[in-house]
Amino acid sequence: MKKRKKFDWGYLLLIPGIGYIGFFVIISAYVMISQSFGLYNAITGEVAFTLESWKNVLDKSFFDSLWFTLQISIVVSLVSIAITYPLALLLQKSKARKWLLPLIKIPYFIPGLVGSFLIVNLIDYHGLLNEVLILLKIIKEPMRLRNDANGIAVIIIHIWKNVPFMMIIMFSAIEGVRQDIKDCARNLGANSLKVLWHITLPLTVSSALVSVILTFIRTFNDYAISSTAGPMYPLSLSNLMKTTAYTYDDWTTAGCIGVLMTIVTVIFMVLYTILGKYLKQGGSKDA
Amino acid sequence: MSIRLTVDNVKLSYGDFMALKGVSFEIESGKFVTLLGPSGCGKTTLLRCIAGFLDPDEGNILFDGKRVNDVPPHKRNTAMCFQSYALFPHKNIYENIRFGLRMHKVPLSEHEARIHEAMEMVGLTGMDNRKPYELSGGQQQRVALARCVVVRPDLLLFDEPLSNLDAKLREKVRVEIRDLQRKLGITAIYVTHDQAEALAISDTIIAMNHGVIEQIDEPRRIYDKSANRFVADFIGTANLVKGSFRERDELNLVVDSENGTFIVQDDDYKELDDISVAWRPEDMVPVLDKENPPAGCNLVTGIVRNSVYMGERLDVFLSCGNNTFRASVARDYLIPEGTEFTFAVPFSKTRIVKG
Amino acid sequence: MPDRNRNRSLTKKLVAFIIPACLGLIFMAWFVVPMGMAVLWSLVNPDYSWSYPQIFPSHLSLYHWKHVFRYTNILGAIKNSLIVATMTTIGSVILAIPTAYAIGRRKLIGSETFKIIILLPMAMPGMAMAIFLGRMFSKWGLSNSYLGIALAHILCTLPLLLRILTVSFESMPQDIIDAASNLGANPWYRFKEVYVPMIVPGLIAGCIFTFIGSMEEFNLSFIIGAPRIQTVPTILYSYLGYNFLRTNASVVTLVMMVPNIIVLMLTEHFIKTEYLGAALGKM
Repeated sequence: MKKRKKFDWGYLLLIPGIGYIGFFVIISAYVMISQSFGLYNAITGEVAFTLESWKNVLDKSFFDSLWFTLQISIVVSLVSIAITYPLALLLQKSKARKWLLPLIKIPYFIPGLVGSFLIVNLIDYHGLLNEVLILLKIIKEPMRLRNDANGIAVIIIHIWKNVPFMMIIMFSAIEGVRQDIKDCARNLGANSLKVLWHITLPLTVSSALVSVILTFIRTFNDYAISSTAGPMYPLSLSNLMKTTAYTYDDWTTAGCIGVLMTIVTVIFMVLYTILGKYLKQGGSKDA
Repeated sequence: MSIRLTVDNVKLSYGDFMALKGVSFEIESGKFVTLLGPSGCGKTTLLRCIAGFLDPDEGNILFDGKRVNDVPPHKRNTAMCFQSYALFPHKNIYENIRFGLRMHKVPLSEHEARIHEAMEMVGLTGMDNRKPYELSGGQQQRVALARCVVVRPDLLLFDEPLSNLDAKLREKVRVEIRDLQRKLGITAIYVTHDQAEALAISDTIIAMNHGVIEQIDEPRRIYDKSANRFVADFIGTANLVKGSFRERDELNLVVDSENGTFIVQDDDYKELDDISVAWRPEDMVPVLDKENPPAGCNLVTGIVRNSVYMGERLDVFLSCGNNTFRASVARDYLIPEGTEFTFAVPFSKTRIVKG
Repeated sequence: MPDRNRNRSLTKKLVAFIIPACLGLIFMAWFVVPMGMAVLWSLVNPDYSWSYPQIFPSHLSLYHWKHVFRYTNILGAIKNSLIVATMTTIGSVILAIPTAYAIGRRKLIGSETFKIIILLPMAMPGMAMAIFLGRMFSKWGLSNSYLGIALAHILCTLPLLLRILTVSFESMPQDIIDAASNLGANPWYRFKEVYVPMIVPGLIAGCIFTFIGSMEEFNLSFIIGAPRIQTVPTILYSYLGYNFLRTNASVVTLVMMVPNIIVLMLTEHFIKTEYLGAALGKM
């Protein structure tokens, strides 16, 4: 008497979540990809296959934008982790974490644009930072940090916004390293620096990588912050795509930019899911 | 209210691993039966089949002669005490115990009386509003027990319920469980790997290993008349030595082994090819006067490798050829390590086991 | 010896005090200084300019506050954001619970693949999704509607909520579910009496993240909602654009933060209630 395999009704329960996500992602991807080949037109419905945009998209302004966006994303993710990791270590040891941790998390709960405005206020041409530096005779002329070609303001705002986000991930990862393992290492003769190097660091490095990747993706795809505090040229990729679509009404080229951006993001998402497999606990995006 | 349980040739595998290789037995109504075996022997798997959490690949489970294989767990009217206690962390003690009554649609008017009766039985009076995490392990264990008995189940199931308690408390609670089960008269199945617990608590012990039943017997017989090498060794401690049957001399059976010839008085003996001689450490008597050893005994001589003072007794590990035997003697003896020593084992305490 | 010990413990105490004090100061600068600047700017009297080398504005007035509330749609934007965020949260929870249960509890073949599908919305740049989904939405007549924005927001918030809830379902001890069915609970009662109460901490955290995610989502609100429905981020964006008016933007900024600060306080209150740890029964 063999057991009969019954249909598992659990698969039906996947429909609300997986179905919803699948449906809308496929729709957006379909519109984006077909538009990049001129095969979709929401307004007139006229379609014609063309590779024209794909030939033209890789011009100087695209590469400038790509380079600019990549630069900012890399700087932001590396600087953020460099700030977050030691801070999380200090906080974890400190007794003051009860009231410091919520304080650090505040920027995470503040809309990015509000943060953008707050920081712009500080570093603007006549902002507090410049005036204080002039007052202290450190600089003679105010520095142009907002809308500057290097995107300094954008970088600062992203860091301000992403350090709390990373802190939420890293703090629970560091907290998740079992105390008895650390005690064991101490007991075997390691000093606190060696415990950090041989125990805490290896056990939290994957969480750190995950938080770096997520920060990179968030920064890479940002539109609002770079369009308010960033330079007029080069634009961030999101901004370039939006401007191409809405200002120049060139939807096929915008589709191409969208496809290229998605490819970069997907590569990093793949990295993220691979790394996520190595995360046993504490490193999930939420925790 | 109490039922007769029949397990008929139950088989279950996880992929390639056969957890149960055809298990059959029957439990009379009101009995307390223990499934005993090392971890991985299939005892918990079997218990979960009886509760309905697992569906056997083959074979039947019958409650009072009625096949229940296709009855889902919540309709079987069994009550299980989990190793982790499995109390609902979001409910207080009163609500935890009440849960089963609500699920069984017991009239509301009866709830309070039955819950308080159950709480009194396990000694938790006045704890109604505590949350599980505010209780000690022993108290949580008692809540789990009360939650089971309050629904007046047909069958009580215990999955190593005492393994998270300390030794003293374990002995206390196991007596309480036994008393409670007797008083209520509910058939009970108790899974454990602790042989002392099994011996102390059961009407019948079912010894399992590698997914098969090795022996079903009452505690005294399973200890004194172990059917095979596994049972003798797993329940208590046994000295075992491979042997070959030579001859029968009225009551006495003569067995040759690498440690000499043993004479065994075992009336249960049947012809067996593959046998060992077995005896318990506590049946070994020190021979102080080697010239006049006691009569009617096998003599075992060897070098004392370790002599371990255990408090209530002295354990001696005796090296005899390739084998090491263990003797438990009264704590007054002084048996120095490294000396040669002789022990006597009465013929009547020596047994032949299969394997 | 005792003296040395006392010295050491004193240094330890000092260090234990100085480090958090420094950290605290940094975070005051991190947050309080920008906030203070915004407050000052919002109170500048329009008749007296505030510029270098004045440290504080010479005259204060509530002129800009009155102006912003009278002539702009700031309260409307907050209302819109709250409506959309509420719709998003309710919708996400309804969609997420069954799926998270199926992935976390049912041992389905391919659940690893489903976990990756969940992440797909994160793999698409927000602006790309906004632009191209927005085209479809305008074709379907969903643009400029609460429903349209909420549907789009759900797409962005579902991945995180699904992840949190899946973990909540996964980490529930099987024994507790078995105990419930053993005591006679049918699937509906198991869901109502055991699953739901036990995922509450994860659910609350997830709802908060969803709510905040929706409140601060800019791209989709901007493309799909504009111009009829302004939300908190889009109205602020219009103040930070080319007609940048620092005084008015300060007022808007300060008002915008109120809902989020309230949510933050709620979070700290709720996420501390960690009774799930007791779920294992072994204390």
